[in-house]
Amino acid sequence: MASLALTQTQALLPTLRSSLRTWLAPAFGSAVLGWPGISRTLPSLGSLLELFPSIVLAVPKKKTSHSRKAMRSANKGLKDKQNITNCAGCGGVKLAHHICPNCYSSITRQWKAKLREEGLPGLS
Amino acid sequence: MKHGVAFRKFSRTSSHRNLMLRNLVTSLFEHEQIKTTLPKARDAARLAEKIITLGKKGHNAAQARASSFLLKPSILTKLFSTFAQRYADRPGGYTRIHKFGNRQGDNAPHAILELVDNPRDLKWEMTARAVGRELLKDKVNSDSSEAVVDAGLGRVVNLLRAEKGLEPEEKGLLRPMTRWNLQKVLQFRGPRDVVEMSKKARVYADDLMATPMAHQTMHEEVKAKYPHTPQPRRLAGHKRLAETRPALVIAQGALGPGASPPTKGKKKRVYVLENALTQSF
Ligand SMILES: [Zn+2]
Repeated sequence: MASLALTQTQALLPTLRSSLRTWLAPAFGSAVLGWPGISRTLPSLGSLLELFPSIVLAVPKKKTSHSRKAMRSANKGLKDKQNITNCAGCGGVKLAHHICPNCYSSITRQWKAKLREEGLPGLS
Repeated sequence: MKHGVAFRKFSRTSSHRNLMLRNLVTSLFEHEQIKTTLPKARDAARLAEKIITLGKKGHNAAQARASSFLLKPSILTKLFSTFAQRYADRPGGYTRIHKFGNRQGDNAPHAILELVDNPRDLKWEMTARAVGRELLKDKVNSDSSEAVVDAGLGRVVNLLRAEKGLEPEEKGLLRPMTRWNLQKVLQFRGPRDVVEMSKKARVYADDLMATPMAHQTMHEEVKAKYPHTPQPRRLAGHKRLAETRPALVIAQGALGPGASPPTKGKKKRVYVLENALTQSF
């Protein structure tokens, strides 16, 4: 199928070319003839390239592949916490050298309940 | 190089910073326990100790300096009566900082700053809990489960008095760290506080036994309504009474080293009690 399409376009190519040329001619003509001054001042492609240095530095030569990226990120992940201990009071897990949030909440709830019993305004 | 710069700036001008710290110290003296970020707690604690030293001196110059520092005049009387009396024998170290994880919102390290031996002393409460738990574990090992469930800890005042006199390297009922905390907490307190501590430990041991049963009854109530409710599970890493492995190993469950295989081998008595209370969850 592809080869058939190719031969067809090759056979059509001369007619395509001529129609393209007739379609493009007025556009090119107006650009060149309408503003001749501009076409004179436009620099050529060669002189534009002269503005850049001959070697462009510090640019990756190749796209980083998925494998390379995965290999680079392999040791970038979060580290596991090792400072996890058991609370001596309730046996739950807590951070080492920190107060147990579970015990703290139950202790403060007891204090608040006691205050409420006594009818005093809540503290802190 | 950070030479000769001893204290924190807190991103504030000196007037702003000083007022903030004075405010923190005033709040600490008012409530005896405040929650703030860890660096602020550390700087406020340093100033609070100095002001309490003024309170213990009690002469006119000290009064003048304290009144020029504290922002509430009502705190002055508390400083020169309550605190001066409470810390009369204590050679410094009137404040305590408990780290409290990271703050919700900005993830700043959070801390609780409290006055030592205040009426709502957190270390006192935590020590009472640890003592209750350890004595309960010992009790279950020595007595029958039924007796423990019926009587609880019993009288432990004499036990605590004995623990109070033990040296760090001697072997007692409590773990060395718990005994250390108990001795620290009782150091400048009267003999009545030992009784208070034993009472607290006893109540907490009862709590420890009642909590799983309460959970079980709650679960059964829910299950009566919705029959497919699964059994509640202990949280990962939770240490049961007889457990000796560290939290990270317990959290590995049956894969962790030292996990007992689910065989019909003879279980420890503590485990039997816990299983009886919790019916295997
Ligand atoms: Zn706890």
